[in-house]
Amino acid sequence: MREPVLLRISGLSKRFGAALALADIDLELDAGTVTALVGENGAGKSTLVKILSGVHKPDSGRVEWRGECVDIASPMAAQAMGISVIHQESVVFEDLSVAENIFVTRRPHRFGIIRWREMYRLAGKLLRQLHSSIDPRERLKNLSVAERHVVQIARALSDDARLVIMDEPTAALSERESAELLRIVAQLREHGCAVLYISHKFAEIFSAADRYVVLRDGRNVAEGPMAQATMDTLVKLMAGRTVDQRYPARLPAQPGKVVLRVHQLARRGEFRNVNFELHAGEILGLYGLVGSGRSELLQVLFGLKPAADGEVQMFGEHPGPLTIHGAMRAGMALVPEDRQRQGAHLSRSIRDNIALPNLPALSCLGFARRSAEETLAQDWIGQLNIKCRSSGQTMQELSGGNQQKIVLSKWLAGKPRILLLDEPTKGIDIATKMAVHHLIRRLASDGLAILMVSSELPEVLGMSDRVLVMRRGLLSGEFVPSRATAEQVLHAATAA
Amino acid sequence: MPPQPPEPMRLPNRIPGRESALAAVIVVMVAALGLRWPQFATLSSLRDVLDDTAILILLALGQMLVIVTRCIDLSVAANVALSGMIVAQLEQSHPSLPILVLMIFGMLAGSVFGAVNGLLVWLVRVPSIVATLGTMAMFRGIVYLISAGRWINSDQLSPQFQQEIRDTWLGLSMLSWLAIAGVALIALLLRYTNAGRRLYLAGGNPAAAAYVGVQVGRSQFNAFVLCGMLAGLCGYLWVARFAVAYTDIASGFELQVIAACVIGGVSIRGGSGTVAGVLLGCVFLGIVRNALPLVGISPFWQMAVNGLVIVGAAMLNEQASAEQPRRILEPDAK
Repeated sequence: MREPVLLRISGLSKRFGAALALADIDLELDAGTVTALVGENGAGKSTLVKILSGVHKPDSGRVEWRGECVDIASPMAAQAMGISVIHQESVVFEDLSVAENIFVTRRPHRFGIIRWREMYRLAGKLLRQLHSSIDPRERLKNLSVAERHVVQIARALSDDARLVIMDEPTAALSERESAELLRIVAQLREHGCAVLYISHKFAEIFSAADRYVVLRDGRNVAEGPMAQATMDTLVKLMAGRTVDQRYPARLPAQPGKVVLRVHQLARRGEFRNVNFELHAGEILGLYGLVGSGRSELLQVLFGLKPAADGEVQMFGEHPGPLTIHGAMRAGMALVPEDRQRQGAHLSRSIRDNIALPNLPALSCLGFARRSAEETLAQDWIGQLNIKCRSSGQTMQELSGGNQQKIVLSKWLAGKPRILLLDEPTKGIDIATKMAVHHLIRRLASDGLAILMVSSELPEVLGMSDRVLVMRRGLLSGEFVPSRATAEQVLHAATAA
Repeated sequence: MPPQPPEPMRLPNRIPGRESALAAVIVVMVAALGLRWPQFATLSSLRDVLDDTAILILLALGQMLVIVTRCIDLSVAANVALSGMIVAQLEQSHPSLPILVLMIFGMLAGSVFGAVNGLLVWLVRVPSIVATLGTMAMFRGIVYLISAGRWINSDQLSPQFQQEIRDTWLGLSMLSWLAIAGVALIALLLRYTNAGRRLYLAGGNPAAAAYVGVQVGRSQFNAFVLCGMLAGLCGYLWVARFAVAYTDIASGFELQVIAACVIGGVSIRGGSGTVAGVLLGCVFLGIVRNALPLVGISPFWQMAVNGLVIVGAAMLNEQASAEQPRRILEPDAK
C-alpha cells in the first residue's frame, strides 16, 4: 500500500483585516520531495509558512498530516509533529554554543544533570553528517549566516523533522555558501524529509526542486514537476495577475529639472554603483525583492546610515556628508517602510504626530504653539480625509490606512521638494490605497520629485514614470512602464 | 571526489574571555599592591577580603540569575533588610531556636518577597525595573513598621547567634563557606540543569524561547524567587555579622550588587553571564574597597571609583556587541 501523503492542505484561507492573504489554497507535500514555492512579494508565501509552523491560524480549510486531520495550534505543536522551519531571521540563541542551539529542546541528561560532553559529541556527529566543520563549542554569534542555517538544519534533524521549510535560506549567502546549502537540501531529501523551499533565485529552484507551486495574490495558480517548467513559464505565472485595481491616469510626462543626482553611491556590503537622476514632477519607481538593498539605499539618501562612497547632488549642490538634518533642510522627506515602528508615535495623538517634524515652524521662541499645531492637524485631516473623532485621538486607535495618511501628512506639511516613499501602501485597505495613489500623483503634478520603493509590481508599473530595478545591491535595469511588461521587470529583479 | 574548496578563514576559536582578562587584572592588582604593601598580599588579608565580599557574592549571584532573564531586581538590598529584621526579631523572641532554623526561615521569607517581584513581572507584566523600584520602597517601609523604627542591637541578640558565622573550619569562616557553597550550587544550576539553561534561553531571545516551549515569564519568576532566597539568606548573615538590625541596613547596596554583575560581564540585555565572571566582579570590587585606604585614597572616593569601573565595563560590553551591516552584495562581484 502506498504511504499517505505527508501533508495535504485543502481549501486553506486566511484574512488579515480587509486583506485576503490566502484564498482557498490546495497543496500536497510528499516525503523525499523538494517542492519549490514561488511567487511575488506579498503573494502569500510567508503567510502559508506561518500557518504551517503554527504561528497563524487559518480562517478555514483542512490540514492533514500523515493522513490525519490536525490543528497546528502553536510553534511547539508544529515542532512536535515534525515540522521545522529554517527561518530567514535567526531564531537562535546568539550567546549559546552551537551544540546547545541544536539540542535546545532535548539536551541529553542523566538524573537531571545535563551531559555536555555527550551533547558536544552528538552535535559533532550531526554536523559531520552534514559535512560541516563547525565546532560544536563555538558561540553562535561567531557564525556566518550560512553556518547558522546549517545549525538550524542540524536542529531539525535532531528533532526528527519530516517536513523542513526553508524561507529564502540563501538570501544572504554567497554563491559558494548557497551551493553548500543546496547540497544539504539534497541530503535532506535522501534522508526522506519533505522540503518546502522558498526562493526567488531560479537557478537554485531548478537545481534543487522536484516540483513547483506558484502562489499569486494568495491563490495557488499552478503546480507541476520542475522538469516540465522553464524560467519563462514560472515568471509568467508569478506576474500575470488579474487587474483588480485602477491607477490614476498618468499625465503627459514633462520632466522638470534634475533635483537629485546620485553618482556611484555605495555602502559596504549593501549596495554599490548606484547611479540615477530624479527630476522634479517625476515619480521614479524603485523595484526589487525584499533584501535587495532598496530600503538601505533610501536610508543612506536620507542620512540614516552613512554612505561608504559616491556622491549625491541635491538641486545642483553638494550637501556634503549626508545627514538627516541636512536632508531635511534641503527639502527631503522619508516615509519609512515600517509605519508602526519607524513612521509614527502610536501612543501619541494625531496632532502631535503631524506636528513633530514641523516643530521649528510651529513654535515661537522654543515654545510649542498648541493652536498652530491644531490648525495644521485640522488642515491635513481635511485635505486627506482622515477618519478620526478629533485631532487628539491617539494613532493606535486608527486603521492602518488612516495611520499611513497621517505619516504622509507629517512629512508633507513641511512642503518637501524631494519625497522618498518606502512601501507607501503596505498593509492598507484598497480604498485608502487608491486615495494614497491619487495623492502621490497629484503631488508629482505639483512639481514634487518622488522616489517610490515598492514590492508590488502592479503598483510600481501603475504609478511610476520610470522604474529602476535593484537586484542584490546593484541596479539591474531601467524601464518605462508603458513600454515594459511585468515579466521583464520581474526578470531583471530575479534573474540569477 | 572533487577537491574540497579551502576552508574560509576563521577567527581563533577561543578569544580570551572576559573572565580571564578580569582574572589577570585582579592578579596584577594583588601583585602590585603586595609589592608595595606586603601586608596586603598575605593569606590572612586575602581571607578578610573573601569574608568582606561573601555577602556581595551571594547577592550578586542572585542578581545575575535575574539579569540573565532580561530583568533586574532593585529590591535585593531592601529584601536583605526586611528578612534580616524578621530573623532578628525571631531570634530575640525565641533565643533557643537553632541557627539553622533561623537561616532557613530567613531564606523562606526572602523567597516570598522575591516571589512578589516575580509575580508582578510574570503575571501582571510590570517591567521589572518599575516593579522592583516599588517593592524596594515597600520592603523598607515594612521593616520600619514591624520594628516601629527601633534598632535591634548586639546586646539584644544571643552571643551564639553572633558567633556562629565567625566560626572557622579549615581556616575559613562559615560566612566564606556559605558563599563558596552558593557559588557551587548556582554554577551547578546554571550549567547542568534544564531549569538553569531555560534562564539563558528566556533572556537571550524571548521570541525564540517561546518557539521552543520555554515559558519566559515563568523562568523570570523562578529567577526572582531564587534571588529573593539568596537575599533572605544574606539578611540573616548581615544581621549576624554586623550584630544590628534596623530599617536602613544594606541601604544602597543593590547598586554594588548590580555593579559586580556588570563588571563580571553579565549583559544587561539578558542571555549571557557566568558565575565565574560575577565572582571575579565581586572580588575586584572587594579588593578595590580594601586597597583604597591602603593606597591612601579616601573611602569617600570609592563610589566614584566604582562608577568609573562600571562605565568602563559597560563600554567594553557595548564594543563586543556592535551591529554588523547586512550582507546583500556578492563579495566577489566586480
